[in-house]
Amino acid sequence: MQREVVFTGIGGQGVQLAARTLAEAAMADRRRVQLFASYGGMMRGGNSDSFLVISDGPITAPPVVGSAWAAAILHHEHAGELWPKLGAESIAAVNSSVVDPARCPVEPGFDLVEIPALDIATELGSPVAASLVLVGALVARTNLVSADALLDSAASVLPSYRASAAAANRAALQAGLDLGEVTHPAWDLVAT
Amino acid sequence: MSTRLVEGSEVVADAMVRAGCRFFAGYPMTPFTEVLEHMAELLPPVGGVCVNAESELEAVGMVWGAAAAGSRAATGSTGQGLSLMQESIAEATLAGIGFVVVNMARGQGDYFQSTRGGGHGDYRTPVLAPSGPSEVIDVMAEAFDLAERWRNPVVVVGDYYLAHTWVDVDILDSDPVVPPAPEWALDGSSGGSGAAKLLSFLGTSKQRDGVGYDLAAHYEHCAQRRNEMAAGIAPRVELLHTDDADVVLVAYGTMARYAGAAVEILRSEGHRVGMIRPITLWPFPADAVREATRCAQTIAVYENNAGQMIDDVRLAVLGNCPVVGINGFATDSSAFGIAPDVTVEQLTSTMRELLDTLETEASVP
Repeated sequence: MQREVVFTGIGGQGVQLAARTLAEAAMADRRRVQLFASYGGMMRGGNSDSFLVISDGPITAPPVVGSAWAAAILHHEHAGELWPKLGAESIAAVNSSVVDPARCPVEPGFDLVEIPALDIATELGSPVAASLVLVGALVARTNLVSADALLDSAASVLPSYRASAAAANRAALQAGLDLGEVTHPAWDLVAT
Repeated sequence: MSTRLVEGSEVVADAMVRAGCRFFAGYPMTPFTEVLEHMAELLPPVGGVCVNAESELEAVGMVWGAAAAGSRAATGSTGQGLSLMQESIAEATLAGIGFVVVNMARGQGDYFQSTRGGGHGDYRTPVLAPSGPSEVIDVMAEAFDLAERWRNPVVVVGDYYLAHTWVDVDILDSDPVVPPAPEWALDGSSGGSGAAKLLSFLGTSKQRDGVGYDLAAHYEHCAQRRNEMAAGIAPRVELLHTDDADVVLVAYGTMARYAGAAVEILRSEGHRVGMIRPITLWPFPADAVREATRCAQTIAVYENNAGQMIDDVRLAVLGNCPVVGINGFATDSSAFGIAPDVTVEQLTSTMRELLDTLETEASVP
């Protein structure tokens, strides 16, 4: 079984960190992963997309997947090419603090969950961790990875010179995990 | 056993070290830069040497020297850097010096450069193209074996996707085995010692009559070795649903993963579509392509360039089957070959149009 998760936002929103965090957590759950990032030359404002594949077996999917089971939409600006990748079984977590509803599909045809990720992260005192709130919320709905693995990856994904951010990032993931119940289980059995 | 999330560039570097590579030299250029960085990290702890050379010219020259002294050696760049290296690569074939050249290419525009060679003379280089990080370990081991076996440079072709796709890898504790230096390797013995050896693009021995090298004999020997190499390497392919395919896609490297995904979608829609992925680009797997397309109505070549491998596919089938190019030509502003038009959706849609055309043609009385 394989689950594809696509991430999109603009540079500086933490898109790549969110994708890496989820990938590390999936590995801790003993799943195979493949992660491809695509981002523009700008540090802020350019596109930042990521394509993550989580699988029970070897992965043959291309780096940029054609279809996706889940999406984390941090910003609408570059989301246009991702919406068509989502199907009837898909779930999209949308950063409703930022994303313009007018830039979302009118009739999505998939499960669209609005999460005020930036507002929540700002309340926590760490607005730069909004992407992790969104990923936490996505995991809360899907069990894509186990909660423990996700929380632990907050620290393991960071380089040593960013270690001081681990606690705030973990809190952001936890805040996301606290939002709601599993409505959209990713796997038949939860990883142990 | 534990796992680690690593980028493709590190897998490439690790694969070289595991294959016994102990000397690496290169000059940074996207998307090759990270391979050089990882070699700089990986080689010193195992007693190897990595040099950030002043240019690609010096890098390949250093590698020539290290290989002549019996070390498993490699260099790399993007196609632009390989352009600079062509003189040395061509001469190395005449000197009988084998090493590995990694081309982390921008798109697939370097197919001709790799398979035909951009240098002078009547030479060839074996070319291998992994489709992703998981295949790199095997391909790199094969590349170093071929370089040593045939005493000839071997090119391994990757791209931006291979360099920058992250995968989980098992951390292996086993120490790679470094093969001993071949008997022909230079060992520092000087002339007059009775143990001196000569490695030169002009030949391996001078004539005793004092008129220098016997170039005719040397070139004949090189040609013979090249022909034996061409016949002696069994080109490898991957086949996907080709048994009953009406339309067969041919794609290599990362493009084949897009092609494979498109083939699965089209199969689920009931289309009899298959794919051949050459893993060895030279010698081109002509027999395998011919065999796998024996019953096909059309062969579609998908490559991230304006059409280069298509020539080899046409030569393979010699007019027995129509061959069309459906190129995923990358025109992104980065010029790294990661264009938005390289997508499963785009390719699937192009293939549907092709299938529709074939159906229409078939229904015309």
